[in-house]
Amino acid sequence: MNRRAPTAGVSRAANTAASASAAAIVLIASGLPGCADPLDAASATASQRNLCLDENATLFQALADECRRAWEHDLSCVGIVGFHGDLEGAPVMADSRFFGVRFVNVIRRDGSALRQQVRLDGRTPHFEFSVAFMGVGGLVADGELDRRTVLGGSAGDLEDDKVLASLRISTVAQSKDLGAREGFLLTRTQKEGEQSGRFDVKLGQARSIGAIEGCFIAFPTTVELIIEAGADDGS
Amino acid sequence: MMGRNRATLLVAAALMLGRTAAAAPPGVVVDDKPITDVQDIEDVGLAGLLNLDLEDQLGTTTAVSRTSESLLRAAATVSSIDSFEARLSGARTLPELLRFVPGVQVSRNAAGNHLVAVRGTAGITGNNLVVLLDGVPLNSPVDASVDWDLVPITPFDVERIEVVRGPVSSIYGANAYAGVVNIVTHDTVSGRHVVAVRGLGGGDSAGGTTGDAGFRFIHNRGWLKLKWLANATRDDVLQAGDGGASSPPRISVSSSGSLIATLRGQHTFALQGGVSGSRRSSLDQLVIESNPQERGLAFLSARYEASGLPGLFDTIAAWTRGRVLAIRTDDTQYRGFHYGDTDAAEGGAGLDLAFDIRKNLKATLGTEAILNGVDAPYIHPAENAKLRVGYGLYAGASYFPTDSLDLQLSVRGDRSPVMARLTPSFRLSAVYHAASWAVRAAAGSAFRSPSYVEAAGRFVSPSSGLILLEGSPDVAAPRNQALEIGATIAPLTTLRVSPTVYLSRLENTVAHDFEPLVRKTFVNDPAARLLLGAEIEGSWEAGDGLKLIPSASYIRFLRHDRGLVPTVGIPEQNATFIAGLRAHGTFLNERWGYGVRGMVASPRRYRVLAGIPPQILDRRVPTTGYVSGTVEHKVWLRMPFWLSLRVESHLPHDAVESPFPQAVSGGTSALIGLEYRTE
Repeated sequence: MNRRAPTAGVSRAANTAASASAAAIVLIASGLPGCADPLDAASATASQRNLCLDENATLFQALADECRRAWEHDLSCVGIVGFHGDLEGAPVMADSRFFGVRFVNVIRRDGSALRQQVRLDGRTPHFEFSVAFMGVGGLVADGELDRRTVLGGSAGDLEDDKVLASLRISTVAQSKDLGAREGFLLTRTQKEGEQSGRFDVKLGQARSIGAIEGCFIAFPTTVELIIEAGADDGS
Repeated sequence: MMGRNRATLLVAAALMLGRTAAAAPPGVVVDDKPITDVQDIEDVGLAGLLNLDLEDQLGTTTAVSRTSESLLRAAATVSSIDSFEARLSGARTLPELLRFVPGVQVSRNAAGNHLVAVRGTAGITGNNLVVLLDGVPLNSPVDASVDWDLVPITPFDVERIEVVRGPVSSIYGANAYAGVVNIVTHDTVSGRHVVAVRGLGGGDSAGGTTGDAGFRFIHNRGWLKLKWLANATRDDVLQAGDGGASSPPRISVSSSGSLIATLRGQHTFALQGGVSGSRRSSLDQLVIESNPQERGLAFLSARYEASGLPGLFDTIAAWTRGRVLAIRTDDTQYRGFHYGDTDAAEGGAGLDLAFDIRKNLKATLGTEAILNGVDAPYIHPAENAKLRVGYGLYAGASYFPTDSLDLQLSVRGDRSPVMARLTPSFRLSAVYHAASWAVRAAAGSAFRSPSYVEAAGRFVSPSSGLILLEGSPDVAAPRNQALEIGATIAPLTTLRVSPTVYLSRLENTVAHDFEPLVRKTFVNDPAARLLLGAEIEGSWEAGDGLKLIPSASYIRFLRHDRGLVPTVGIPEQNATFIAGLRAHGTFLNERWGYGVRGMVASPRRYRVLAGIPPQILDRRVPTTGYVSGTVEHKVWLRMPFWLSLRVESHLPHDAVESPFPQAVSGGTSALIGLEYRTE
């Protein structure tokens, strides 16, 4: 390579520039790490609150009261739910409003009404879910109570203290049903226009196993009545 | 006529270099054998006649260490395609040109839409390579993928393409995970200027029409060099693989240029820029619908370099550069996700120093700062349209303990704009070289930065409002660690063979954890993959201007977990064996030029989750082949025109070599046209 001999002035200037560059590299190297922020891209799951913690009891109650007022006014809120746990090996945390609540009541011959089913439809940031409790039991008019029932079993072995439960989760293109294997449902309130409680349940089978616990209060968008033979539904 | 050619060769050879003139016949000795006959001269070739050793024959490269160095002594495996071969290859796009580089696997999704994988890092993301145009990186600021249709040149404009295989992040930073493709645009010698204009048109076997047009101007006054390139391409509707559907036509226009001034032989100022736009199929890892999509890329780079400095410093370089990418599409045509409304930019500045510490010890030191931002509907709201900072620090040393032994070490730490921590990389090599052979042993560790999509993506369904796929900022950088041994042997002055064997360990490959309904995201696959590969490339100057280049590559995965579906390193996605043969040359006083290439790739299978919402793509790719060629003839129409016939065929015609259901099948296209060029 042919190099032209630089003049003394150029040489000095070049060396000064090179030394300044070396110093700049050191300065930049020490200063740049401070400019780089960690990525702020937490999962939408992280923005969800666990409404069922004791420390959030007041918050849950406030949200429930607000939702009840909205339901009474224009059905713009039909319930709230919070649950957390693990589904399909992924952590889940939901802090959600229901968009659909369906009660199925059985009108007995004596005119009393039993709550037979509760179906709760809601949405998390990542999936929609539908919780179904079948064979809930208990009179609709019971009002305030703390009734504990066992979750799990199959449709054929319904007993008074046993509730069949399932969770269906769905995205735009896929859905999956997870049946309850074991757990409990603690019904707090059960009224004509309200159902609330807590649950703790293990779900699914094989690779789709999961466990969630949560709490909810629901106000119906649909009430279906099943009239026992000989009963008068009062309508 | 043949006798006249031989005489011309003798005179040309004698005149071309002073060293030859001094030793011109009588008395030329090559390989200890006196040249006594003209036939002998043709047999040994020009290189032999000029008594060039292997190092001189191979020339130099800037692709491995970013500085000009002997290709023979380079610290990595490099294949080079020169302008002559590129022009006569029959390839209309750069990926089709790269098909013949050993270790490279190319899949065509649609016209102007290719996936290029290097050394087993197949997959459907295509972001494991750094692609440089005259030293300026053109990878996407969104996910570091390469949109080859936006590289603003065609094979006509190539001075040479150098493909570095193996991990070289210690030189190029994040994403030089599997290698580097360094594209050097056409050049000319001092005092010359070049004007070239071409137009070709033709059709394909699916009944479509196709055409290329291009313009090139280069002016070299020694101290000042101006370059301007412009291209336009149109491919009509091609047949898609499944169900007789058709792929959108491709229209691509581009222009690029540079201005380089060298003052006092020491101070070089270079300004380089380009803009390209493309309308082509949207097929992509996450977009599995083939609809027309418009993409635009613009880049600008400025560089100052002072070289040949006295004392400790050899060169100083300071540079700044930036590029912007925009993607638009008609969102009403999609059922799933698309990249519409994407605007992204990346800029940076850096300083490089090279030292001559001792006669046998050189060192480099450098740093760069990067600014990156993406504005797109699928980025996490907290990170969308936010400028992020990254940086890199690097150092290298070359030590020559003897005249025949080169030792090189380069180390680098990078924190890309989306990475959580500084990530190291290194490369260590030893090259022993003699007059007609060289052996190289190298070890390297490189990484790929997680992309914006992988780290901070949030794809929300417009209909349901649900998050369909979410990036994870905890995704670690995938790493490629490789050992390789290579050689270049020239048993004859006209024959050269370069075999390489390597062992790669792919760690932290990013997998699409699309299975759980409750949250679809990206995770690192805990299982490392181990693959063994071998490549060989030859070159034989067979006389009468004919050059033959055979090549072959083999990949075998030694360890592989079949659990998650990672983006790279899946055995089934790789052709185990790829072999090719290239031939090109001239005849009749260079009035005719020709190039013929053929290659075959063994079967492979894609079984991947792709698209949003995700679906399993399962496609068996049979044995595929590719043949292309060009014949050109110089005709004088008051000016030197070249009549050119170019043919390109993907075989078999009913085969689809891409994982996507709507990818195009094989086919043949032929173009004929004229080119005017002044050299």
